[in-house]
Formats: sequence, C-alpha cells, structure tokens
Amino acid sequence: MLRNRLRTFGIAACLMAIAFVGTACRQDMHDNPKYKPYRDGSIRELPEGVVARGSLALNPPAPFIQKGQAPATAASPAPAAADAGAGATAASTSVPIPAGEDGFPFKITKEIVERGQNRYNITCLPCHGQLGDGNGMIVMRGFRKASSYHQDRLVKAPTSYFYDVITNGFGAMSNYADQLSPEDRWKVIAYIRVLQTSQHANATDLTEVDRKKLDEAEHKEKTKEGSHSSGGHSN
Amino acid sequence: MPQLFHRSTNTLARLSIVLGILLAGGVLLILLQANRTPYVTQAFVPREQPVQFSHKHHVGDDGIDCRYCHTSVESTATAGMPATKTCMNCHSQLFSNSQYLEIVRESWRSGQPIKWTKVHDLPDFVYFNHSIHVNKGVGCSSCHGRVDLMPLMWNVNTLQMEWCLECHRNPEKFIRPKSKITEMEWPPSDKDKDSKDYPNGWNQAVDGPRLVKEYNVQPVTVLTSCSTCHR
Ligand code: HEC
Ligand code: HEC
Ligand code: HEC
Ligand code: HEC
Ligand code: HEC
Ligand code: HEC
Repeated sequence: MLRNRLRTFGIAACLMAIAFVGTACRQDMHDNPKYKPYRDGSIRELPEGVVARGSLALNPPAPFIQKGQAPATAASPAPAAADAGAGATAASTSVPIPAGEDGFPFKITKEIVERGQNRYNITCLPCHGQLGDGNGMIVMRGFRKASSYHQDRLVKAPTSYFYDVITNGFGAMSNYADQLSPEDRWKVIAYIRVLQTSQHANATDLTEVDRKKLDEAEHKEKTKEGSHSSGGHSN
Repeated sequence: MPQLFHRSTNTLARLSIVLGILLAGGVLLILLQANRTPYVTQAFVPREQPVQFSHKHHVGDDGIDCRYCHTSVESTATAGMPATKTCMNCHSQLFSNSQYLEIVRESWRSGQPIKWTKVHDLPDFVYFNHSIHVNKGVGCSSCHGRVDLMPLMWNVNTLQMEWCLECHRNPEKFIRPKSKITEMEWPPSDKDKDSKDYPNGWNQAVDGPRLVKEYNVQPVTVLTSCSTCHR
C-alpha cells in the first residue's frame, strides 16, 4: 500500500512539475518594466513641451529650401499663375520656391520620380486617383471631389504651392505633414509634374528635361496597365 | 511468514514504472503541442477593438495601401499605429455621423489617443524589426496573412521561435520583390506578370534564391544565431 501511495504521489509531483515548467510564471520576462512603442496599443501621449525624436524635422520646410530666396514669383519656371483666383492662392503660399532646377531643391532623376510615384500611390492616390484627375476610390465613396492636377491653375502653380498644400492642407483636404517627410513631399511633387506633363502638352513645347520625364511617364503608364488593378481609377 | 504480495506484483510494479514514464512523456508532449494551439497563442482569434475598424473594408474594398496608416513600417522597428488624425483625413467627411466612429471623434476632440487592443505581442526578450524584413523583400502577408480579408484583426501565426526560425533557415522560400511587399495576394496569379521584376512569371524556386542573392540577405548562420533575436 505504501508503495502504491508513494507512486501516486510521485506521478502527481511529476505532473505538477511539468505543468509548472510548461505554463506557469512566464510573464515577468515577457513584459519587462521598460518603455516600448505601442506597449498599450496606442501612441503614447507626449508631455507638454516635449518633441518626439524625428518629428522636429517634419515641420519646418527649411532643410530643402535655399535661404534668402524670394517667395513665389522669383525663380519659378512658371511664375505667372495668371488666372485670378489661382494667382491669389499660389502667391500667398508661405513656402519660398527652391532655387534648384525647375523649382525643386534637388536635381530630378529617374529614382526621384519613381520614389515620388511610390509615395503618391500610397498617400494621394486614394483620393486623387491614378491619373491625378481627382476621382480616386475615396471620392467614389462620397468624399469631396479632389482637385484635378490637370486644371490650368495647378499646372501653372509653382512647386512651392503644392508643398504648401501637402504641409498645411487645403479646404477639405487635411495636411499630410505627418505622413510624408519633407524630402518625400518634393518627390511626390516631381511625380505630379510628370503626371501633368503626361496629360497635356504638346511634346514640341517641352524642354529637354520635360521630354525625358514624359518618356518615363509614358513608360510607367504602360507597365501600370499590366500589373496593378487595385488603383482608384480602374473601377 | 506468508508473502504479503502476490508474485504478479513484481510485474505490475515494473509495468507501472514504464507506464509512469510514458505518461510523463505523453503529458509533456501534449503540453508542448498545446502550447502551439490557437488556445494558447491566440492565433485566428479575432480581437474585439474599441472601434470596429475593418481592414477588409479599408484595404480590401477601398484599396488603401498599408503604409498610408502604418507609415513607419519601412523605416523603423515598429510598423506604427495610425494617429487619430489619419482616420479624420477621411472620416471628417465620410460617415461623419456614424455611431461606430464616435470614439474616433471623441479622441479627435479630446486629443486622447485611441487604445487599440494589441493583437501581435512578442515577449520583450525578443528583438524584432519591421524595416529589415520589409526592405529585404519579406512581405506583410508572409507574416500577417490575408489582412485584406479580416473584418477584425487576428494573427495567423504562432509568433513562436520555431516560426521565426522556419523562415530564417529558408528565406528563399518566402522572399519577394521589394515593390510587392504590401501585395496581399502572393504568390501572384498567373495573369499578373510584372515585366521588370519577373519577366517569365513568378517562380519561387527560381526567383527566390535569385532575390536572396540580389538583396544580399545574410547567411543562415547569422539569421539563426541566438543573438540576432535575443540581444
Ligand atoms: C482624403 C482624400 C485626399 C487625399 C489622400 C489627398 N487629397 Fe489632395 N485634395 C483632396 C480634396 C478633397 C481636395 C479639394 C479641396 C477643396 O476643394 O476643398 C484636394 C486638393 C488638393 C490640391 C489642390 C488645391 C487647389 O488649389 O485646388 C493639391 C495640390 C492636392 N490636393 C495635393 C495632394 C497631394 C500631393 C496628396 C498626397 C500627399 C493629396 N492631395 C492627398 C483630397 C485628398
Ligand atoms: C486606414 C488605416 C489602415 C490601413 C490602410 C491598414 N491598417 Fe492595419 N491597422 C489599422 C488600425 C487602426 C489598427 C488597430 C486596430 C486593429 O488591430 O484592428 C491596425 C492594426 C493592424 C495590425 C495588428 C496590430 C497589432 O495590434 O498587433 C496589423 C498586423 C496590421 N494592421 C497590418 C496591416 C496591413 C498588412 C495592412 C495593409 C494590407 C494594413 N494594416 C492597412 C489601420 C490600418
Ligand atoms: C483614406 C480614407 C480613409 C481613412 C484614412 C480611414 N477610413 Fe474608415 N472608411 C473609409 C471608407 C471609404 C469607408 C467605407 C468602407 C466601405 O464600405 O467600403 C470607411 C468605413 C469605416 C468604418 C465603418 C463606418 C460605418 O458606419 O459603417 C469605420 C468604423 C472606420 N472606417 C474606421 C476608421 C478608423 C478607425 C480609421 C483610422 C485608423 C479610418 N477609418 C481611416 C475611408 C477611410
Ligand atoms: C517577418 C514577419 C513580419 C513582416 C514581414 C511584417 N510584420 Fe508586422 N509584425 C510582426 C511581428 C512579429 C509583430 C509583433 C511585434 C511586437 O510585438 O513587438 C508585428 C506587429 C505589427 C503591427 C503592430 C504594431 C507594432 O509595430 O508592433 C503592425 C501595425 C504591423 N505589424 C503591420 C505590418 C505591415 C503593414 C507589414 C508590411 C509592410 C508588416 N507588418 C510586415 C511580423 C511581421
Ligand atoms: C517570412 C520570413 C521571415 C520570418 C517569418 C521572420 N523573419 Fe526575421 N528576417 C527575415 C529576412 C529575410 C531577414 C533579412 C536578413 C538580412 O539582414 O539580410 C530577417 C532579419 C531579421 C533580423 C535582423 C538580422 C540582422 O542582424 O540584421 C531580426 C532581428 C529578425 N529577422 C527577427 C525575427 C523575429 C524575432 C522573427 C519572428 C517573430 C522573424 N524575424 C521572423 C525573414 C523572416
Ligand atoms: C529568429 C529569431 C530567434 C532566434 C535566432 C532565436 N530565438 Fe529564441 N525566441 C524567439 C522568439 C520569437 C521567442 C518567443 C517565443 C514565444 O513567445 O513563445 C523566443 C523565445 C526563446 C526562449 C524562451 C522560451 C519560452 O518559452 O519562454 C528561449 C530560452 C530562447 N528563445 C532561446 C534561444 C536560443 C538559445 C537561441 C539560439 C540557439 C535562440 N533562442 C534563437 C526568437 C528567436
């Protein structure tokens, strides 16, 4: 009898030990007392006056704009912004036009346009659509119609106007300063310029640079047709 | 003195030792196996959220890219949760009276972030980084499954060490072109060909190893070394 009891006891102890090893007492190492992002499922609120690392760079447009550049009308390739309403909005932007080629702070290359397209498709396409005509999926679902980039006013607006709209919003469109870094904003604008050129224009009017962009844009349209079907424009 | 026990008790005693060992082994096995079941890992269990946010609607029906909301997934360790403002980009107008969105509007008014229920949660002694995976061609759906079909979020994998290692030992079975990381349907169906990345249609057995080389994926010895994930 004693042996039997010993055995039962032994097995029970074994089972408990196994159960213990298998399941119990794990959480201490799983949840260390340290800060991790999204620990409790949300963005941590910052105490007043504290700036999150990296976010300072998001707000001032400074790093990509040459200081001392006169705003709006100066170095733009399309400074006119002739028609009345547009003239007012375009000129009133607080963002100076960068001095670089075509009103961009950097030289436009294929890589930059590609990155711009990539970011455009993520951030702007839901509303502005694949072609930039303002008929994206979200507009189809009842959002206010987004502006078409192909209206004269916006074709003529300087690059800094677009930068201003992305950074500060415009009418029903809220700002995208948190979702796009300043560098990416300029790249998106470069792509918008490509979209604009690809929709209008008379190839003979174009400068060498623009013609290059046009070729690229056409090439993209072609490759796009085959691959993506999820874009706003296709349905 | 008469024998206390019958002779057969000897056999019984030996038998019970064997049975005891088998039983212990069996229990251990069951426990280990149980540890992998959805009951423990919570895989495939949709979590209730404060707002009935549906990836199926936003990604599947509306075609919004993951990175519209999870903005930091390519640049930092964490994918990033959307701020309330991101929701308000659209919901300032769309469904602006819907009761389902009351919590979002309340959060917008008060400035208090929405507290989502966490779905994926690795233990703190594990180091994980989204950007390294995404930038080496490991797509969201390889780890998170068909998010575009989920009305509420759940996880499709155990997130246990063996799962990480399964891929770290054979990255060529999972890798894809970097331009396709947020594509939900993967591998692509035959008709979806991309002239640049895979001219002859996608073939994991051929294109996988090619991309592993092209993207300079680190050797398996590094990927399976303990200090890669426990640092
Ligand atoms: C949620 C939908 C939405 C998204 C996403 C969106 N926009 Fe807009 N956008 C609008 C709407 C709506 C208007 C028109 C606003 C109005 O008329 O009140 C507009 C107008 C504009 C205008 C023209 C302003 C004018 O003078 O007419 C520009 C430029 C613009 N958006 C650029 C962008 C860029 C660049 C992005 C991506 C970074 C973007 N938008 C993303 C909805 C959106
Ligand atoms: C419109 C914004 C939006 C888009 C687009 C979006 N998500 Fe989310 N995602 C959220 C919100 C809000 C949550 C938190 C609520 C939840 O878990 O359902 C979330 C949660 C998640 C989680 C779970 C996080 C956790 O707690 O572990 C994963 C994984 C995820 N999203 C992946 C994706 C993927 C992959 C895509 C692209 C296919 C995507 N999301 C697109 C807004 C979005
Ligand atoms: C780019 C635009 C966009 C963004 C950003 C967005 N939504 Fe939506 N949301 C929609 C659209 C469009 C629908 C309608 C979905 C459908 O029926 O296909 C919707 C529907 C919803 C609904 C269902 C509303 C109802 O009454 O049925 C909820 C809840 C919701 N969204 C929550 C959110 C939350 C939370 C966020 C922020 C993480 C968010 N949405 C961000 C466009 C957006
Ligand atoms: C290699 C596997 C893997 C890939 C690829 C991956 N994720 Fe994750 N994801 C995870 C793991 C593991 C966690 C849990 C992280 C934790 O708990 O610390 C997670 C967590 C998340 C979260 C919750 C917030 C956070 O960062 O903890 C979101 C949102 C998310 N992933 C979205 C995405 C999106 C969008 C993509 C594609 C661009 C993606 N993930 C690609 C494995 C992956
Ligand atoms: C579907 C495949 C896949 C899965 C699943 C996966 N990984 Fe990875 N992981 C990779 C690839 C590919 C790399 C890139 C290796 C490189 O740096 O070249 C990587 C790299 C890493 C790195 C960085 C290595 C370094 O030193 O640069 C860490 C850390 C890591 N993974 C952790 C994890 C953890 C933790 C999990 C499980 C929660 C996980 N991974 C799941 C494919 C995967
Ligand atoms: C690819 C990433 C990765 C590598 C490499 C890795 N681990 Fe892990 N390890 C994990 C993850 C993820 C977990 C969390 C498992 C869980 O949540 O159950 C873990 C958990 C553990 C645990 C705790 C188990 C538990 O149940 O709490 C130990 C011990 C451990 N690992 C040891 C090691 C050792 C030793 C090595 C080297 C031989 C190693 N790990 C290599 C990802 C990794």
